[in-house]
Amino acid sequence: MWRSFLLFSNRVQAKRWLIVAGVGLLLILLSFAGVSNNLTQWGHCQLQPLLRFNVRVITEAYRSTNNIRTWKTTVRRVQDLELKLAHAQAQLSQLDQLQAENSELRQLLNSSDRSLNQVTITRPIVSLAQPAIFFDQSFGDQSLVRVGSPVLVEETLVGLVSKIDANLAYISLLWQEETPLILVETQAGVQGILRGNGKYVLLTEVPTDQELIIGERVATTGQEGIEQGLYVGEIQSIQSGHSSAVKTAIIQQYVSFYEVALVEVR
Amino acid sequence: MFKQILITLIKLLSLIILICFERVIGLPWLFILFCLIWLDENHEQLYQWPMLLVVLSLVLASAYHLSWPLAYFLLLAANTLLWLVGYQIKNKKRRFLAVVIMTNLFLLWWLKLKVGYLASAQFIVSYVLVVLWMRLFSLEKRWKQILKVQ
Repeated sequence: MWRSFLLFSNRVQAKRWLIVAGVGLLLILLSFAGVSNNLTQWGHCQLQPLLRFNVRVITEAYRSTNNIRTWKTTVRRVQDLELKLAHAQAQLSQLDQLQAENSELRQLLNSSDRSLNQVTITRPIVSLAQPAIFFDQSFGDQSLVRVGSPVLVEETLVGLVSKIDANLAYISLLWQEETPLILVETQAGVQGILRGNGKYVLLTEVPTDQELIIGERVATTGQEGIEQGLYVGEIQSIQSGHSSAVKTAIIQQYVSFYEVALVEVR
Repeated sequence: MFKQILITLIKLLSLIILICFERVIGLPWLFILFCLIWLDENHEQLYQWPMLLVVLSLVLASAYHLSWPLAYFLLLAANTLLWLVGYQIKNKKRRFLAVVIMTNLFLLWWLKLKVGYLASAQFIVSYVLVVLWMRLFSLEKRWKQILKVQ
């Protein structure tokens, strides 16, 4: 085999090998002269648009396969992120609550000349059926929380403690029918009794000859367990007719037990 | 004559497109295979064969940033190897595949390319394509023979 290859079995083949060798030699010479490099560079420049197009096509295809390959990992990561988000949201809501508590505490401390020893600040337990407050050592003197103690929100009387059970004190809100009667008076000194009808806070038992003015502020008169001057609300409307023996007015309260983070018990 | 020039141009253009595609992925598997087939087809031509070698090596050198003489001698060596291993490997298809693999291994070493996910995928796809192409080619030949007999 080698013999036939080296001796060039026929003249045509020998001639061809000579041409091939000559061309090879020429290319080497051109390479030394720098011409072949220029030519290959030119060829590369001509191929550039095709190469760029292929790069785009292959990158897209590779990205698609990569997406399929990493699909499971991505799903797991999204699930992890969702869990983390839920956790973060829970922490955020706790922080919001703490912030609200903090601001209310600050307001209570700044806007009052009362001694804190006579006040217990607690957290409300919002329940439409059984509104209550929670209190323990961390909320100050527990002995101040007694049945009948007034419960205030933003310096406004909203209810009375009706029952104490361990660390819970159930509240009768002013609009509830079972709330004990409270003596109140208007700015003009007109006295009456405060009670709830299950829907509104009412100022009743006001003699017909007494003048009630819409927008007048109403505060407690002072009775056993309830100090004088606790703000209750403003007269919103007067309900009594001409035939009625007494006047009744609806009291509007601008705060709600259900919308605050902290309440005060005196 | 005109038809032959047109076919040559189409072949060259398709080889250029192929090498551009393979350049982006990794190694010129199919390009070298088709070059060797083309050169083998023109084995008898005295002047056309070296000219083809020069053009194909220029395309290879341009696409892979090789020096032109190196690409020229690489294709020449691959073609000579094809002829030399003919005594060891009688099956022409296997001989072509062996030479293409050897040439590409040389390029892998010379160009210091990394064998990654894409290069491996390219090798598998190229191999499957070659096998399919060969099968289709033999099927076509068989069908032609059957039709001739009928």
